[in-house]
Amino acid sequence: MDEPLIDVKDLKIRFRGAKRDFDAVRGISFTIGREKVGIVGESGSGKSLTGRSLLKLTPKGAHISATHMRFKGTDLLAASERDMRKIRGNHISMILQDPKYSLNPLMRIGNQIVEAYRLHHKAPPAEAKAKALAMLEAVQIRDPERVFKLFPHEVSGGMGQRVMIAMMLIPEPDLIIADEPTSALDVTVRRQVLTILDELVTRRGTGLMFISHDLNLVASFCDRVLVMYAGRIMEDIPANQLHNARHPYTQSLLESLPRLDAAVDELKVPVRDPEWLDGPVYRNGVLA
Amino acid sequence: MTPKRPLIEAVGLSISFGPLHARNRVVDDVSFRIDKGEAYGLIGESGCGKSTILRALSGLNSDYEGALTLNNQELPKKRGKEFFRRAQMVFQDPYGSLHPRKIVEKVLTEPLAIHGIDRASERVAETLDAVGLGPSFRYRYPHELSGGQRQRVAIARALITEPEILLLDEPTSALDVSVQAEILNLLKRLRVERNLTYLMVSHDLAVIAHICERAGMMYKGRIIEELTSQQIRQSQAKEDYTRDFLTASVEAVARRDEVVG
Repeated sequence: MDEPLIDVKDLKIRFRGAKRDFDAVRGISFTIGREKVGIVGESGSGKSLTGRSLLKLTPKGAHISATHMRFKGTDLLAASERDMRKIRGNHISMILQDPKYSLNPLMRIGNQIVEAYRLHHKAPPAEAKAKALAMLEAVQIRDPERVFKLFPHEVSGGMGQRVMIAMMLIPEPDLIIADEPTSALDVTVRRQVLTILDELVTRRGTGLMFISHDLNLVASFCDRVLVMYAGRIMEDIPANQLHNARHPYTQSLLESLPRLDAAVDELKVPVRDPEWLDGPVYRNGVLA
Repeated sequence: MTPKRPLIEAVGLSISFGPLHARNRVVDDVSFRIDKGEAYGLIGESGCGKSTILRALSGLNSDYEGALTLNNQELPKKRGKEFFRRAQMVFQDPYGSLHPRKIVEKVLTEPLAIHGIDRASERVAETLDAVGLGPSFRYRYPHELSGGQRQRVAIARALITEPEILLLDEPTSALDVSVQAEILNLLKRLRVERNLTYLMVSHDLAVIAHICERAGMMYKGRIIEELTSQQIRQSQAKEDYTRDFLTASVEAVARRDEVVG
C-alpha cells in the first residue's frame, strides 16, 4: 500500500478557559489514504473540529497538539500560514454544509469557479473559463453556459451544493474534506449529489473525509467509518462491517435509528457509560 | 361502537402567495381528515407545501381558501383563543423557538396566564415531569440546555394548556439520532397517555412510519396519495413519484440491512 495522504497521531485540541481548560479532541490517531472515510458522531463529539484542524482553520482559541500530523510527508504542525495557503484548496479542499452561506453572494457562480482555478493554476482567462464550464458539466448541470452567469441566490440548494463540489474539485486536490455536505438538502436531491461526488472522487482517486451525523448515509457511502464520541475515536471499522461493531456506543447508535423494515414500539435510547470516556477503543473489530 | 368522527378535516384547501398578477399556488386543493387520537403524517420534499398546510391549520397564516374544520365545525379564518388552547404547535428548531431571555418557568407559565388557567406552579412541575425534565430545569435559560432538552421544553410548552391536537413541524430533524430516539419515544408515550391527535410533517419516512398510522404524500402542493405506515414500510405505492421517493429514502436503510443482514 502506498503512503497515506493524511497521517495523524495523537491529535489533541484544547480550548483554554478562564477556570478550566476544555479538551474537545482528546488524542486521536488515524490515517486516510485514497479512500472514502466517514467520520460520524453526535454534535459536540469533535468531528468537525478534527476536519478543520487538518487545514488549520480552527477557531483562534483552539490549541492543537499532536505527536505528528502529516500530509503527504509535509508536517502540518510546523507549516507556516504561508505554507498552509499553498495546501488549502490546492491539495486539500473543503466542502461545507450549506451552499447558501459558503458561496460569495455578490459574484457570479462561473467567476467563483474560475477564481478557484486561477488561484492555483497559471492559466489565461479563456482557458480557465472552458475548464469551469467543463467542471459544471461534470457535476451534471444541464445548461452550464446559463448557470455560469447566475448568482448563488438564483440556484436551488442542490445545484448550489453541486457548484460547491465543482469549485472544490477544479484545483484537483488530493484530499477533500466534506463537512455535512448534504444535511441541508432533500432526500431526493441528496442521492444525486452523493452519486456525483462519489463518481468524481473515485475517478480521480481523490481521498475523501466525509463528516456526518447520519450513520445510514455514511455506512452506504464510505469505505471506512470512524465513530467519534467525546473527542475520541471509539471505533475504526470498514463500512461493510458496521453490523459487527464492537463498541457499545456504535451498537447503541445503530439501534436508536427508527427503521422502515422493522416496526418497534419504543426506540432504544443510547445509555452513555462514563467509562467510555477513557475506556477501550476498537479498530477493525479488535481492541486497539 | 359509534363510527369515528374526524377531529380535523381539510376540504379543498388552497394557499397562494405572491402579488395578484403573479400568484404562486403553493397548496392546491388539498383534502384530508384526521380522526381523534390518530397520528397523521405529511411527507414530501422541501417546497411541496407541507409546512404551509400546518401553518394554515395552526392559524399562523389566515390567507387560505377552502375550509378547515375541527369537530365538524368550520374554523374561522381568525382563530379564537379557545382554538389555541386545543391545538398547539412544536417547531423544527429548538434553538430558534424558545425566547433566549426567558427562563423555562416563564416560558411555561405564559400560556397559562393567556388562557387564565389556574394552579400555574403545580402545572409547570407536572408538565416538566411528563416530558422527563426534573424540577431543576425550571429556572434555567435556553442556552443552559442541550438541543434535546430544549425540544422537551418546547413540547412541554405545547402540552401545558392540555391540548387535544399537537401540530409537529419536523420536530426531530435538527437533532442527533440518539436525541431523536428520545424525543420520538416521548411523543409516542404522550400520545397514548393523553389521547392526543398528531399532525406531523417530516421528510424522514422512517420517522413518519414510526409515529403515524397514516400519511399523505405531497408533491407540488397536492396530496397525491395516502399511505398507511404498513404500506410505507413495504414500499407499496401506487403513484410513480411516491415510489421514487420511497426508494430514494429506503435505499440507505436497505443497504444497511444487506450489511446488517
